[in-house]
Amino acid sequence: MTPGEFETVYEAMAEAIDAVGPEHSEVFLAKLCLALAHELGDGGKALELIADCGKDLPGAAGVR
Amino acid sequence: MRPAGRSELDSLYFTYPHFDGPTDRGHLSDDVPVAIVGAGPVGLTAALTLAGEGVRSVVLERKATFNDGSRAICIARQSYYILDRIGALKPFLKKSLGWTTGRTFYRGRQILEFQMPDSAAERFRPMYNLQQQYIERFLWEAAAASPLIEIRWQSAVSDVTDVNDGVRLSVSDPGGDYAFKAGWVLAADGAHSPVRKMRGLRLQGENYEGRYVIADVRMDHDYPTIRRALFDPASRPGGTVLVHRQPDDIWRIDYQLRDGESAEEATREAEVRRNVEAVLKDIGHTGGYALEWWSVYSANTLALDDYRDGRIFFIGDSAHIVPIFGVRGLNNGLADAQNIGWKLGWVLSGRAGEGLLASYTPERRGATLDVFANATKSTRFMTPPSHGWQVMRDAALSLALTHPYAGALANPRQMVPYTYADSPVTLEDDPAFSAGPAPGAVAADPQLEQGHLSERLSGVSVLVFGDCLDPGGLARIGGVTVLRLRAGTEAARAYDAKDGTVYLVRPDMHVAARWRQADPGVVTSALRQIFHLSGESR
Repeated sequence: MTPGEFETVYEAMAEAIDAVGPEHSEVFLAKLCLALAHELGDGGKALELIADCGKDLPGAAGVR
Repeated sequence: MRPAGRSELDSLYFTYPHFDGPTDRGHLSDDVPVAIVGAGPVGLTAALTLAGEGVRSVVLERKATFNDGSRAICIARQSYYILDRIGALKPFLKKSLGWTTGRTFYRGRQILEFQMPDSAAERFRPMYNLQQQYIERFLWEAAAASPLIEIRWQSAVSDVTDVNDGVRLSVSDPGGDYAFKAGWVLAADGAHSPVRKMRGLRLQGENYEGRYVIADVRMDHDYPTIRRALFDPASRPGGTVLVHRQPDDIWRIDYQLRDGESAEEATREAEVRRNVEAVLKDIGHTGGYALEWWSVYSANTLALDDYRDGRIFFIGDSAHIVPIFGVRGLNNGLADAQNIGWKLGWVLSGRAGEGLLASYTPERRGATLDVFANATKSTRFMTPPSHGWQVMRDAALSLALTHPYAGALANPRQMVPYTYADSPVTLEDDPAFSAGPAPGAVAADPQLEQGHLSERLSGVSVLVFGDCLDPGGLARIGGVTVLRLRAGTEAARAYDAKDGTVYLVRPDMHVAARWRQADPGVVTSALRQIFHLSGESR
């Protein structure tokens, strides 16, 4: 994936989160993660990313 | 519960018999080898298993007839082997509806169709649906025909006291009170087991939040015998509904109550009708229906720490309560009954030592804990316990609408027989095998030239493959049957067997030990060790 493609995905996700609205965004993101994990085809890597992405969330200690 | 104007036994399709308490009273206080408390499916299966081993039993039942409604309706393949072994199979095969397929729907759209393992070579289907009253009636018919089983109806046990070499039971029936001594007691008296309370024992574990109404309706509805699971249907937004077909045009509808919905309100007839009608609309049924019976239950995972208390063994719901997903309540109860039934039968007929009985709790409690592990997964999907589980469940169902792989997350994990890997009477495996049922697992049931292998099993079966081994001495041990099978056949492949391979198969069809290249002396000493057999050959 080129940096340009990656940026396009970033933008598409932002727009999709807005499009589904706050009521559905959580299930939407969970569904997207299941689909991406299936595409990834690597359970170990998916679990690593789950652990990684739980860190350093905005508002958590030390992150502003 | 039944609709207004109908008594608890006023069924649309089943005529309840009425059984009087004992009238011939002269022998009631006589000693008996085994007393069984409860004449439900589990108690009667235990009595029939003991009778098959030549052991007499007295069954005590508080009620005057069978269960008032159809609670358990799914009988698994392995239970049909039990019914076969106790000589009760025929009416079950004739009346029940076999099935293989399940379909899962999300918001009215099918997201998964699963097939349970099955083929034309299998002797039985993976699952059969049959109302509990029929299950009890067919078992009662078999028990009533046995000279070794005495059922005492309307007989409540009020006390159990340990005495020398037995248990003294106090019994009340319409004709009076009496007491008698039983060498052993099997408590098959259900989830609220009075015997368990009399012994001061408590079930341990978790109470899940999920509560369900089960309602049976009679209707002319054209759909095959396929289990339907409806997630988030219009009838129960956010909830789950199960629909099962039963014989006699009876359909089981099973739906989850919402948090805060009171069970009392939910079981009012008008409320049950309103919910049932909404489900019927969901499944596209436009004809009428007649409400037969309903009840409410909650999904539990509770078990006794030890299924044995001195000379009392707890079997079925008295020992464990499991969630319904995966249909393991009745089926595990039947397996409990067969497990302790043959072991006690062997001990009481002098073919095994009492040490064999020590394997009952580890084997059957192990099976319960395995159910809990599977049921916990199913329950999390059916009734998500927290926000996180709810989000992921909804995400999986939503994804499954367009990506079938996600539907597999909704697979209900139907019952598979438990492997007694950690049992004190399961021997270590022979590493020379690369396939076939390992010690502790259920034996394979391949087709032979005529019929299936299971039809030839009897007592403890020694399967001897090929001609190179002389099993002479084995055949002279009491209760042991030697079955010679040819090498190079379908049966040999199912057992990864070559000329000289031997399997020991217990009366409950679990493999106790196996040798790829056996030595008859080793087999004989293993038999003695496993079954705690007494020293002499007969």
